[in-house]
Amino acid sequence: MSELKWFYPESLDAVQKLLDNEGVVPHGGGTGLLLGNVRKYKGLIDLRFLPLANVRENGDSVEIGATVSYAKAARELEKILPGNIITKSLSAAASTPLRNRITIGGSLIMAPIWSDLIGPLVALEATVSLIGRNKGRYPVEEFLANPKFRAKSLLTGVEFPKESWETLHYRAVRTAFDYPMFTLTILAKRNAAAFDDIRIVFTGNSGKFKRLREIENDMRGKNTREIDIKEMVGKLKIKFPPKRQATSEYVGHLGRIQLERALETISKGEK
Amino acid sequence: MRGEFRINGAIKECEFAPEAVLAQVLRDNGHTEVKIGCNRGECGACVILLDGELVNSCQVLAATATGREITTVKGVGNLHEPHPIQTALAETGAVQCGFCTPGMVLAAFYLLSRNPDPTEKEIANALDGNLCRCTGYVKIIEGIKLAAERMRANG
Repeated sequence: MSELKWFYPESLDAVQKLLDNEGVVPHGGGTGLLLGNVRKYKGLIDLRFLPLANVRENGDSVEIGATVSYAKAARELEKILPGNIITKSLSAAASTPLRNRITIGGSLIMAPIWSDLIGPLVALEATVSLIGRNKGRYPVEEFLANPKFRAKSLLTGVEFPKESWETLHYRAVRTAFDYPMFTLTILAKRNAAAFDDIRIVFTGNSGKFKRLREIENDMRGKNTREIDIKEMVGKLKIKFPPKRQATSEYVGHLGRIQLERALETISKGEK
Repeated sequence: MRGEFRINGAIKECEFAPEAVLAQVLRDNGHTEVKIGCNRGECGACVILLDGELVNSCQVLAATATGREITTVKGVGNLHEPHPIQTALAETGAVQCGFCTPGMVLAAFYLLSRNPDPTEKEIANALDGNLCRCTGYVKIIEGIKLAAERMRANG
């Protein structure tokens, strides 16, 4: 087997050329590649010299570069949007040293079923930017649903509208440092007693994530006192695969209970 | 491949395999104070400061750390000139087998350099990536509180 080669490009153009080579993949600095066997690749592209390590405001939106760590993203976003959902979710993910290591780009490329990032980004209707074969900007839902986007492409960053939301994030874990069995993200905007907008996303289910659009539509524009949460949750169709910690049925049951509690909490306007 | 690392302030040139992780390269080059426990980023025995950020060195490919500032526990303090965190951990009986201690010291150093007066909960949170199988953490937290008090008192 030939020796693994490292490349240290200083421009995105140079990365695009490297991506044309068979078996050469980007390495943002996170932990994803180490879960597999790096020896199966012919080359790794170290992204540290590229301008992808910043969180910045871009008019009405916020951009997070692909090599920004979870810890930095949480810290910087809190300055721009206090109380935002990404800071909440990423501050609870993994552990202190791992949060300094896991990158936004790597996390989206790997998109593990236990991800703490996917739920908030889907709820925020974020977009991802790619260069290489699939150059362009895509809704994060479309990107996550289609693995073809990853081939010979580099995710350069993620962007979402700079808006204020009431936020709720729940992780189903036994201890803080655990892979969540599922996560539940809720964003809401309220006008007096009615929801102007509400977005609800489960992750960890079969299919990796699910936006609960039927429930969102049932709640949008309605006075919170008129909403029958139990009935809505009872009608929900969602399946979870079995986890190390629990059976599929147990996780599904727990998911419904937590959804009901979360909707009650957000309907009452509780923090 | 060969690469230069800045380890505890000194430049060191090392030879390593392209797929080698930093924890192993550091140990192979004399830095056995970096322990390898789980090798998957869960136990914290291998943590170092990489450009000032606490990371699991078993989760860093060495080729991505060339030219960067690496601090191991020996860069924080040693037997002759111990850091107040090390002294406090020893005094409070927070060290038993000692395998997790380099990681605990660095995690505490990382916390106290950002938050000199942490609550007990903040200390526990800062140690969320460090496992100890001997002490039950009570003494470790006590030691870090003591170190924080002394560091504040000494400015």
